[in-house]
Order: sequence, then structure tokens, then C-alpha cells
Amino acid sequence: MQTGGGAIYALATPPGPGERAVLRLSGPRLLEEARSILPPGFPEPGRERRALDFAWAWRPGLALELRLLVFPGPGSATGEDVLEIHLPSVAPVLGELQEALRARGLRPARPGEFTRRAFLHGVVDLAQAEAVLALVHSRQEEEARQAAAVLGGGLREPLEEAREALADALAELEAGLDFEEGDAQDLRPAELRPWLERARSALETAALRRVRPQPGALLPRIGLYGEPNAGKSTLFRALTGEGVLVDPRAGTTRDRLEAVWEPPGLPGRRWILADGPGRGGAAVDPRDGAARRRARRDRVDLWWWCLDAGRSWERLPDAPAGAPWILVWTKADRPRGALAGARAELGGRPEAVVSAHTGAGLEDLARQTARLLDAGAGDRAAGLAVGEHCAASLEAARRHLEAGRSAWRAGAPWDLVAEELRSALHALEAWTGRLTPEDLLDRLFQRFCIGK
Amino acid sequence: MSERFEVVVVGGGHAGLEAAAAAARLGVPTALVSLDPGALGRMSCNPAIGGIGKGQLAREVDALGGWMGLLADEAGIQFRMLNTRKGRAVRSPRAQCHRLRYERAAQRRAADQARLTVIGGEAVDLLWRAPRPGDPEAVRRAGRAVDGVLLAGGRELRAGQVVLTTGTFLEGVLHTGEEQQPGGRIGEAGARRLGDALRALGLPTGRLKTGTPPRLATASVDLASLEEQPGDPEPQPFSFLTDRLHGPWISCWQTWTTEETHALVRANLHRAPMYAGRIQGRGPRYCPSLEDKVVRFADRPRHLVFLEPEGHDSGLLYANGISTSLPADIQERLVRTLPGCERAEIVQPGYAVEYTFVRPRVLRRSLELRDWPGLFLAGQICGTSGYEEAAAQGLIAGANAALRALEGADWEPFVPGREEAYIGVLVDDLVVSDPDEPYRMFTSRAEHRLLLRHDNADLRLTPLAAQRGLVGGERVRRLEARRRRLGEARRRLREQPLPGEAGRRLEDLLRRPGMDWEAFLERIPEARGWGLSRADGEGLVADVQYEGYVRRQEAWVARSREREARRIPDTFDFRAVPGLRHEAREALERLRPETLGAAGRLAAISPADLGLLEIALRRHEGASREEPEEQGRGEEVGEDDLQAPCQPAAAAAPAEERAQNGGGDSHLRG
Repeated sequence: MQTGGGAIYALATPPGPGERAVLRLSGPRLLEEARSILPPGFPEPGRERRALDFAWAWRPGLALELRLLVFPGPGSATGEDVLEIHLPSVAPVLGELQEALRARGLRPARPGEFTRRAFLHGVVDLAQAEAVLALVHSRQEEEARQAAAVLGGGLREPLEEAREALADALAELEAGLDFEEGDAQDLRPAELRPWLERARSALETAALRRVRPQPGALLPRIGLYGEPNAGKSTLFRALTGEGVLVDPRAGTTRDRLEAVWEPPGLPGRRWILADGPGRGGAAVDPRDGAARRRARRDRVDLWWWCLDAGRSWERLPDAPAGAPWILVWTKADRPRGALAGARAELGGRPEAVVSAHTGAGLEDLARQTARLLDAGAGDRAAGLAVGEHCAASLEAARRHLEAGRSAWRAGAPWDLVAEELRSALHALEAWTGRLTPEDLLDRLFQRFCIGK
Repeated sequence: MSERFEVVVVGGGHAGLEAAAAAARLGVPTALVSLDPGALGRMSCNPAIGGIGKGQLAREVDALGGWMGLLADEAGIQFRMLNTRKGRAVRSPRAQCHRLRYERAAQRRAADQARLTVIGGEAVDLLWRAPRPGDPEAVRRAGRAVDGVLLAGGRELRAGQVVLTTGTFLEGVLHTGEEQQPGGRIGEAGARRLGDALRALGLPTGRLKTGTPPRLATASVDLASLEEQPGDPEPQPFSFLTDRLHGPWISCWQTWTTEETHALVRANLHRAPMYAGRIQGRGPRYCPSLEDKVVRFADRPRHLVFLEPEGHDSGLLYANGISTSLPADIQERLVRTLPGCERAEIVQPGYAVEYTFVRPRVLRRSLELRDWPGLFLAGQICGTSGYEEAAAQGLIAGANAALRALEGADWEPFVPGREEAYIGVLVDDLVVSDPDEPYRMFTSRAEHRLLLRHDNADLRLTPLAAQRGLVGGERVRRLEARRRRLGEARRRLREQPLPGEAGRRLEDLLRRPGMDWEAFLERIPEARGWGLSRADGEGLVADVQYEGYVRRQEAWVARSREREARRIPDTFDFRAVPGLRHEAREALERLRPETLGAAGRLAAISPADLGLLEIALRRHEGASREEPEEQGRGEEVGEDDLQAPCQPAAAAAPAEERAQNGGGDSHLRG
């Protein structure tokens, strides 16, 4: 697996009409190499932290308003040089821009990669990094689901066909490389061509069938977490205006509710708030259990961990898992309980004090939420950008296969042809699984009576 | 009766020989115990060194100061460069050897080697350091510190480092047809009691099988009717120290099996030990017995057989390609179905041998046992096959045993990386594998194959060996001279214009498809005056023609360097890594990779698993670094946490381990 190194990019905002999209780029020498990385028509970013507004001629006679934000390392979100391109969220523009970046040597970020870099450069601490990586893990399941949908959409077949053809071609070549002629009378390197042709047409089919991710899949999702009657639903209703049955008796919310919230004072932000049944405490109704199980399957990017500030908390209860959290003290308009014990245990981790009735503290909560979501934004996008990943993989595989084919036609040494086929397989391995040396040898020994 | 050495090597095959030689070269008193000192360096199977992948290993052993290349040059009776038309990175040297001359040369070297004592006898048990009373920790540690071997008859060879290279002798059983008898090689007894000693340590063991074909009387075969396979007209030596090889050269001969042969095998399968179920161990797929060939590839009308002389004068032919353990009477009928062999006499029937090996996942890359400090394994006991694989491991184990003796239990292991040597690929693969067939080197196992050419083994490895004192001045001098020659030639290629083609350089000519050194010299006769050998020239062609690919692989290596350098401490608890998938955790616990890079190569590890592991490792390093000063740092997320990632943690890890191991060891040595 490749690590570290070059410049990466990810779409950091959800695509969708009428929105501004943000493409985030990170790389150790991004600003020095900006000339060769940014497409023609972009301004020179320089080395200062700043914002550049400019008109970009996308098509002749059609200029787009773009903004380029420059964050020189190490004071950036990842500790490396970071560039943000803010642009209209128009699918063809976004698609072309990303293709241009790929053509210029950038690659889509892998899950967790922004966080990993931030961690390695000391920008985020271990606890944060762990939380985000745990999230990436759960996100892989989601990606796998989405990938399954994508792959089910007619992509699996051509991808597997391409891998099979490449692996067979490679086994044929390797048998020739690893055994003497006398050892393997069956070697038919002349028959390599049909396999290479098969691989090529399979990759072409896959490229045609590639599906783009659904718009809206990238909206950050905030889960409300807390014991029954911690004030989650009151908060939810106050923010989203959705009608939730609120009852002072614990356990009232049995169904999951979701609504989009546009936080005040943070234009352009849209988050999904998800209210679910309370955690912990006694279930008052057998239906709670099922609702809780259902809620556990949902993706959450950030928890609002709600605790009733009107009660006394000597210790912190168990924190939510699977995503970073902000501790939200609710019902701040009422008399406070004894919170000192719990707050000491909190040790400076993020908290907010809010009142759903008076609105106090909500802006602070929104700001803190934005900050934490931004830290993982690139990764969230990377985790879901199945279509992007797939496009990059297919493109790399195609490039290596073409190089291998023309090398073969030109009578190049077999070890170099094999190298291109290996690289092509490597590019596909995220989708088709890795071909280990043992797999290759198995394939080879099944086919050939080989060796003395 | 007790004698003291620093290193005791058990076994005198290709692994044992290189282990003992490496230890003695490093200057520590070394003993080599062999059941029969007259069989030191014996080629049990085919009389040849090298081959594809293996030839590279043999060259690397030589570049590290080992003996194999010198012995092959001395005993070689036919040299061939394989794969010349397939690609420069996969070219591999092979030498047909005079079987007796090879082992005699080995024995002479062993006798001449300073600080090396060859002792005849059977090692029957391991000796352990006596605990120091009163200190329970010392007792615990001492119980694990090996202190030599006990020979049958009671002789004690004391040493803090022991290298076991038991080959096929460990609980070996020989099979020919229905007959079976204990033994390690035909006519030689096996080592029966050492197996119990190893199992008593709780080491996981298994059984493997290998086989050998019948040897024929040369005079009984009609060679004139067969196709001749001559050696290269300009043989190239194995050793970087050898300037010239001395003939005379012999040819090998090619025949093939017939329908009659196959029918005979099929009719007698029930008498073959493998098929009758008398052998449990699994044999290698890359070296199938004749029985396997006939059964598994029933549609093939014939299989090639190579008749390889065992010397100019030995009167023996090794029938390469018909390894079999059928009964001797069947073998004779079978051999006579081969064209040219109608009246062939078998001097020594083929047989299968089954032996015990230790599952190599319990080893470190230095080939020291993880749980038994000072005890090293090398060769077939680790589940490999082949002389070259054995020699490579022997050299690594012997060198590390000696370095341990010299530098203490916290020595920096001497192990080339995967990107530096096939030897690195070999040990790296081995220690995270659980082989169910003997491991053999293939070039396809090396992901950096294009960097690992046989002709640049000295450039890659001799400097590493020199750094640790493994090679002497002569090798270093030769290397320096070669580097200068090559550097100078490279400069000329880059700078000098190509005559008759404006704007082009000599290098451009070399880059043309199909161009080799001979053709280059013809076009540029003045290059004959550059003082280059043919090997130098061919190496240059490869350097120039593969330049782009080599750069690609080097960039890859540079990217993964950090992960390869990040050590996973022995004390690290994989169960404590949050979020790892079950499958990943299970593989990590069982195979315990030594570095993050090795972990990433396990089939069960996903990129996200690796990310989690990396984070957890850094946390572990941070925590263990702070513990001594700061008791119970509690819930506070201090600045240390934030700074930990900025520290050169890769350097911190070994130092940390060093502190732990070093303390214990000084106690033991006292």
C-alpha cells in the first residue's frame, strides 16, 4: 500500500444545485508546486494565508466566480499546504476540475487520509485522530454498501473480468519469468494478447458504467445522544421546527427523526440533525429496543451528547462511541445541579451549555460543531466518494494496461511488461481484492505442469 | 566435559556452513556440529547451484561475504545464464557442479577458517543457563537463555548463541516404495532426539516432504542419441571475487517420459508412499514428483527429463525431472522407458524424505526465536527448500548470532530489506507465513524485482556487510574499483555525443530496444578502452534501459520507508487497538509482524486497519516513553500527547526496546 507522499484532494462539501462546493487539496509542497497543479486560468496562490477571488473561464464566453483560499503549512488543517477551491456546485464543473487535478498528479484522498496527515503533523491529537479513524472504519461499511450499490449497477462484472484477465496474463508471464523453458513446455506467451484485449474492453465497459455518488449523501449528520428525557427532542424541535411529540415522561421518542438544520450565523452550512430514542436508562416500552437497534445502524459524524444541566452529575456517564462528540448541557434556563465532578472529568474536552427555550448557547454550539466537522470533512467526503475513487482506479489501471500492451507489442522485456500488469492490478485492488504473490503462484501451478 | 564457544551451529549443510562461516568471519569462536564432518557441504539433491530467483540469492550470499558462490565457481562444470531473452532484471546464473568437488571445497574452507571448530557428533538436547538463586526474575529469564548443546555421549558445547540447521535430518524418514527407514539422507542417520527438545519449548512444528530422482550410471545411457544441452561459451562466475573460471565444461542431456512411463506410474501408484497415504508431509508444487505429474496433468503426453552429470569423472547422471519414491524395481523399469535409457542402470534409486520443521511465525527477521533469546534457526527447519534459500538464511542467522555475542542482546539485527535483497524478501515472507509446502524463492515474490538484479548484488549489499564487519578488505576494494568504473562509464554515456546522430548521446543508443553490450561495443569501439568487464557492461545496459521503472520503484520504496522502519514492540498488545476488524486482529496476534510495513503486507490487513494500528503504536510509544517520569498521567490530555507525533518516533522505538532488553541481558552475562 502506498503511504504518505504526494498531494491529495477531496470534495469537502455535498454536491447539489444552488450550493457552493469546496474542493480541498493538501500536500507537503502544494504551494511551491501550485503552478503545475492548478489548472490554467488560476491565479498564483503565493505563500501567504489569503483568499483570492477570480473569474475562471470554464468555457469560452462562460466565466465562473471562483474563490481560492490559501493556507500555508504548518498552520493549516493538515499541517501541510492546503488549498481550498470554492466554486459553484455544478456537476460538470466539479467533475472536470477533479479530472484536471488527477491529470496533474493529485489523487483522491483515501479514507482517513486527511486526519492521518493532520495527526502526523501534530495538528490533531491522538484522541481526535482515533475518533476520526474509528469513524472512517464504520464509514467503510457504508462505503462498502454504497460500493455494493455501485458495483451492483453493472460494475462488478467488468471489474472482475478485468482482474481475471490481468491476473491470467500475469500468471502466464510470470510462469515464463520464473521457470526455464525446459521446465514448462506449455508456456504460451504468444497468447498473452487475447487476455490483454479482454482486460482492456472490460475496463472500458467499467468506465462507461461508473455511477456517480448521489447528491446529498455528503451532508454531515449529527446524532443527538443521551438518556431518555435528557432534552434531546426539545432541542431538536427548537432548532428544526419539526413537530416532535415531547413528553416529560422518559422514553417518548421511539421513532427516529431527521431534519436539515441551517445553523444561524454560519451561512451555507446545512446539517442533518437526527433525534433517536434515548440511550441508557430503563426502556419504558418494548418498542424502544427495536428503535434503538435501528438507530445504531445509522451513520453519525458527530454526537451531541445531551446531559440535563438541571440534574447533579458527580461523574460523567459513558460517552457515545463511533464518532467525536460535544457534551451539550441542556435546559440551561433552569436551576443548575452540581456539575463540578463531571466537568472535572471532562478535562477541557468540548462542551456547550444551551437552552432550547431561550436560544442561549446555540450559536456557540453551532460554531464548535462546525469546527469539529471541518476537521474530518475531507475524510467524510473521501469515505463516500466512491465514484471518484473508482474513476481514479480505472484510469490508473487503464494507463498501466495500455503501457503494458504497447510494451508487449514492441517486444519489450517481459519483466517490464509484467511490471505494468502488476501496477494495473494494484490500481484495481481496492475494488477487486489484492492479488498476493501466493494467489499468483496458485494460479500458475494450477495451470502449468511446471518445475523439475 | 564442557567447552565454551560464542556460537554453536548444529548441522553442516548449506545453511549451517554459511552460519558458521559468517560467525567466524565476524571474529567469534564458533563450533559447527555435524553428524558426519565428511559430509559437510554435501549437495543432497541436484548437483547445481543457482537457477531463477535462486541464482540471485547465491550472488547475494556472495556479496555478503558468504562461501556459496566461491564453492560453485570452484566446483562448477557447466555455467549458464538463464532468462537472457526474457528481461534483464530476471536473468539468473546457474552452475552445474561436481558434487564431490563441491563438498571437498567446502570442507577445506571450513578447516582453513580461523576461529571455526568442526566437531563430529549428534546434538541431542539444548543447554540452558543456570539461574541465579534468589532473584525470581533472573530465574525466569535464565530459563529462557540458551547456553549451548549437549552431544550424544555427554559432551557439552557451551555458547550463548545456538543456530539450528537440521535440514531433512530432524526426525527424518526416508521412503522408497513400501520401505521406510529413519534417516536424513540416503545412507545417513537422522537426528531423532532434538525434535523432542524443540517441542518441549512449545514450538509449533509440522512435517514436510521432499524427494529426489534416481541416479544413473553414465556408461549405461546412450547419450549420443539425446539432445545435448551445452553451457554458455563464456561462463560468468558466481562470486564477485572470481575473475576467471576453469573448465573443462560438460554438457547436460535431454530426454523425456513416454506414454509407457506414464502407464507404468499409473499401474503402480498404490505403491507410491504419497499416494498410499504413508507420507503426511506436503511436497512442493514447483518440484512435483513424477507421480504428481502423471496424476495431476494426465493429459500431457510427455515430460522433459534432464540428465545432469555429477562430475566429469563421477560416472553418475542425475535424472532431473523424475523425482520419485516408487519401489526400486519399478524405478528401474520406469527409467528404461525413457529414450536413450533403454539399458540404463540405476546406481541410487530416488526416494522421498519426510522431516520436521518449526513453523516460522515464531521467528524474528534475524531468525532468532522470539521467545527463546539466543536460539536461531535456518534452512529447511524453517520450512524452506533449496540450497540457496538455506545458505541465505544461514548467513543471516550466523551473522546475527555473532553480532549478538559481540554487541549484546540489544544488537541491531543485520537483515537487508525487501527493497535491498531477495534475502530480505525471503526472511520477511518467512516470519509472517505459515507454509504448508516448502517455501522456494521466485522472482515474482519480490515486488521490487527490477531493483534486485544478480549483477548488482555487490553494489546493493557489500556496503551493508562491510558496515557490520562481515566482509573483508578485498571485497570492499573490488567494490570501490567497480563503482568508480561504472560511475565513470555512466558519465561518458550521459555526456558523449553519439557519432553520426546530431543531438544524441551514447546513452540514447544504449536505450534502443534489443541493444546489448556486445552490439554497443561494435558501434562504439572506443568503449572497449573504458576498462569494463562484460558483466559491468551488461549491468550498465540494464541501468540505462530500466531507468524509468527503477525510479518508479525507488519512489515507492521511499514512500514506504517510514512504515518499514516503524517497529512493533514485542510487548505490544494488538487486542488493545480499538476498531480493528476481527480478521485483522487474529492475523496480527498469530503472526506478530515486526514492523508496520510487514503488517501491511498481511492479506488480512486493510488500509484502515493499518491506520488504526499506526495510531495505536504511536500512542504506545508515547505512553511507554513517559511512564518512568510521570506516574499515572490520568485523564489529562497533556501537551505530550500533542507532541508525540512530532518526535522521530521511529528512532525512539528501538531505543525503548533496547533499554528493556539490555537491562536483562547484562544481568545474564554477569
